[in-house]
Amino acid sequence: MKIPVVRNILEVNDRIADQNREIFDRNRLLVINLMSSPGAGKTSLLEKTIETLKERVHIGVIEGDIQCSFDAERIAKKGVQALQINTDGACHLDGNMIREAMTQMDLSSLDLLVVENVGNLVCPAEFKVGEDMKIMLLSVTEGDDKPLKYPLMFQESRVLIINKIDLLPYVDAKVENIRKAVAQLNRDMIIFELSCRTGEGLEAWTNWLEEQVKLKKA
Amino acid sequence: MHEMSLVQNIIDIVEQEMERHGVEQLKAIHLAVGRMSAVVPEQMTLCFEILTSKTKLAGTALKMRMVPITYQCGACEREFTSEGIVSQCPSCSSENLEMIFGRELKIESIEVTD
Repeated sequence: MKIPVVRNILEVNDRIADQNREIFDRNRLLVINLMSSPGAGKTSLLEKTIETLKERVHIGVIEGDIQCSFDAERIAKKGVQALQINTDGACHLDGNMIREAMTQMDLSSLDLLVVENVGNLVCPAEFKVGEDMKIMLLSVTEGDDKPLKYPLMFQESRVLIINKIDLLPYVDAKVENIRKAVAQLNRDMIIFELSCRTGEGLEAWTNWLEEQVKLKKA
Repeated sequence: MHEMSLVQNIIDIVEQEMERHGVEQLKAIHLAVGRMSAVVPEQMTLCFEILTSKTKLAGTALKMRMVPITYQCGACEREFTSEGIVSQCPSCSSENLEMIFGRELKIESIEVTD
């Protein structure tokens, strides 16, 4: 005999994420869930973004890693609130981890909170943490076939940042191919092309981000 | 490897439902898993076996119904399933497609031993 249940497997996480979101909204705090493969440049992007915006935008960062606190140390050196979460093996951050981390931060003093997820192109896409939007980073050295290989993350994210464009002459990946694949998955995706190393293209990204912070404040 | 988290969530929900229905043992748990979700069925089964060994759910089968990716065309309203990602409606070639199924991660039912 079958007893119907019909419950979403992730209902508990979704509920906690919604509660986090309410608290963020009350503080008019823009929250970004930043995701990518390991080594795509999430922390470098944050360092550059903080350097540009920190005079005008109060930024906080929650760093998710399986082990160690290198990333939070890098971010703290930039003079912003940074908190490290070690997932002890878990491949993604979830709503509950953020709920605990939030209590250790002064949310009312922030305009922008970036949650840097564990480097992984698969798992983090399924778990909301209470963010306004998911933003993902893809570096050109990873290849232009990644959108179609890992479609979920590209569908879930509002923004794609293509990083390391200074290396394009040395790799086979083409930005055009990435854009074509993304168009199939997520027509409305906003795409930035930049290099954290040379600084090319960074301004368009930081201008856009600052605008989003203002919209959330309004 | 987020299957472990998913399976733990499944166990929590199923235990609540068993208590609510006064059920002590289950024959099977039936899931709907969308093809777009990043789930590996074999890993789910393995994680379930590991997490339920020596519990009352040990030996319960985890049955997964894989839900195909289904699009609806915004122009001609045709619904069609697809093995993978597509960008054009096979009928009218419109690119105005919405994925309506394929993202499921649901528990559909629990099956009690007769």
